[in-house]
Amino acid sequence: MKKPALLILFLIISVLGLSVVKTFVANRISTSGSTLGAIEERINFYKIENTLLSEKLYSLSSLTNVSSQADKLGFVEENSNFVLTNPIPIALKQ
Amino acid sequence: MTWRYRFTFLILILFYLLVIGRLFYWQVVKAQELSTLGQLQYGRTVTVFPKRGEIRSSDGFPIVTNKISYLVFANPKEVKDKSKTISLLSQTLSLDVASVSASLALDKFWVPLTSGIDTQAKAKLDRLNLPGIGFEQQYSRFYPEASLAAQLIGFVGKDESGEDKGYFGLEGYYNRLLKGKTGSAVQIHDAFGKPILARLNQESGQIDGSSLILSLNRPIQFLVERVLKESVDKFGATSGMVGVMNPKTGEILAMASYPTFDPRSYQDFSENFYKNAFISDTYEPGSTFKPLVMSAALDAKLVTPQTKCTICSGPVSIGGYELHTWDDKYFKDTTMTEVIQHSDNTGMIFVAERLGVARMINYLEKFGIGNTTGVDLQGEVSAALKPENQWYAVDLATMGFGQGVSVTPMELLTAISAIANNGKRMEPHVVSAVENPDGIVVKIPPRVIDTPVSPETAKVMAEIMVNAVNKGEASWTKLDGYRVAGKTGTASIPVNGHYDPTKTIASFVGFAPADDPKFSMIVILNKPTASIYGAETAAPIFFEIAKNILSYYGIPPSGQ
Repeated sequence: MKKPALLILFLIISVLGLSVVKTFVANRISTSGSTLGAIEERINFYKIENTLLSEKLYSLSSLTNVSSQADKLGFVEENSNFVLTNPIPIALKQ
Repeated sequence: MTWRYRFTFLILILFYLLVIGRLFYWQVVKAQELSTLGQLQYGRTVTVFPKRGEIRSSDGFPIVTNKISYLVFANPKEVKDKSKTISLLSQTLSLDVASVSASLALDKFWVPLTSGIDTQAKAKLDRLNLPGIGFEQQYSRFYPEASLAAQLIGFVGKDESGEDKGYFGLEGYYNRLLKGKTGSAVQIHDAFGKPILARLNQESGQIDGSSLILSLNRPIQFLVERVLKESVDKFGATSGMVGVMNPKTGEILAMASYPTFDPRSYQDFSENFYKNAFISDTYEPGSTFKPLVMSAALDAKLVTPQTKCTICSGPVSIGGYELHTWDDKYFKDTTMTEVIQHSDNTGMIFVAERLGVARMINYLEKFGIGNTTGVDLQGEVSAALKPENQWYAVDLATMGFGQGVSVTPMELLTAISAIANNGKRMEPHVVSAVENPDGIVVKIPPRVIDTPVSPETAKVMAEIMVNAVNKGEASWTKLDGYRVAGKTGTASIPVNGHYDPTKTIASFVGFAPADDPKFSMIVILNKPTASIYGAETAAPIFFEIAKNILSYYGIPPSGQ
């Protein structure tokens, strides 16, 4: 008779203990929805910021932009290439 | 007792059936509605749109990427001052007052007003703080290089269900790979609507699109487009095309057509500009076809570079037709090298006749003529060669100098590239690798399709083409110090069964440096008015671009 009574007592204590823990945990996390929302908003903000900066970077480094900027700054195309070549190592019959 | 027993039993059965019927009503008839209601209490299902893959040039620069844009929607039931809201929305978003008014008059909870607005426009609307107006973030295509390679890339429009879909070029050909997979996720919230769990992304099934890494060389493409535009205007042509290929791998380094369209505002252009004429239009190649026929005869050992033409002293009569040279000049006993140099039609008739129909068809098919090249772009066409039994004697003769045959510029460039690549014809391709959303890169290896001629024949043909550049009609514009192999072409345009002598397709095809080619190129001008000849229009464009490419690759002149 003694053993079943102990077991029942243990179960009752466990149930009560877990209920208390559940209440405590639920109370702690009940407001985390707002925190989570704020974190997600922040992540989204940085993602958007990152995409906008990439967009700007690509526009500035595009050849279309570089070319038009070069034109504005007065760069001109070099048409006469000057190349140094080695002399031919044999005597040519002229 | 018996009737009482039966009556009770009947009542129980009826009650039982009533319960079953009611259960059927809730579980089957109203199941979907109840499920939706339950989900609405529990959380909100969110459609997760995938990010479309980027298209990058060979240097890794995204010539097509995504930018953030917004869809503006309204909940008409929450809009307070409708007339003020309509006026502000139509002003800020440049929308028609009537359409905004009609949208806000609808008895719905969600009405889309416009999509694709940028962050600045969104910020403007945000500041107005209009009740009942919301935004949904989405991605739209962004082109940092504007309309660079537009016809090669294609554009993104909408399909029947309103979802993004690629049309034409790479966007069309690789649409399934680029678009990814739309998913859905449940955002669980508490009684106040605050999210209490993160999105179940892993279970959503959403997969971003893969990115394409092209063989397209951005500086070369930029150069080609600039020179082509200037040249079409300069020579008064109706249109023009240039294609540059690495003959050793089949990689397309540049491909341009002019006039073109802007993929950012494709709706403003005629549909005729969408298709890539380089793979979708066939034309008579004229003299640029001669190297293919000549190399076939050389490979079959029917002629040598020194073989003398025995019919070249005047016009040639075949099947009731009298065939002339382009300038009505005739060279008796001219050699095969000189036939290409002078672009001698009678010499090519001599070669074609030696080849015969069967061998001609066999070699041309090996060069890929009459078939699509297999390039990874949407809309490639080809004009099949006639069956052997339908060839007349005059067909064989005209085929020798590139008349009576239709090819796409891509077909001819691929065939000429085989001569540059020791006789091996490569499959042309624009995409050199695919990068999946996890960053794993899968390379697409080069593929040999056929070997139309031997390496020895290819070398000899290259030398004949070098001679044609150095001593032919286009020699005035050649590059000093470089060995360039090439051939001019001036093809008359067939109109109502006759050739119009004033309207031509001027072209030039070749490769450089001839001994170890880094690129092969074709230039085509449609109906140039400044001069009808390829040697005076297409050839200078070829050499202008070739000079810059050789300089870009750091290849010095040989000094000879």
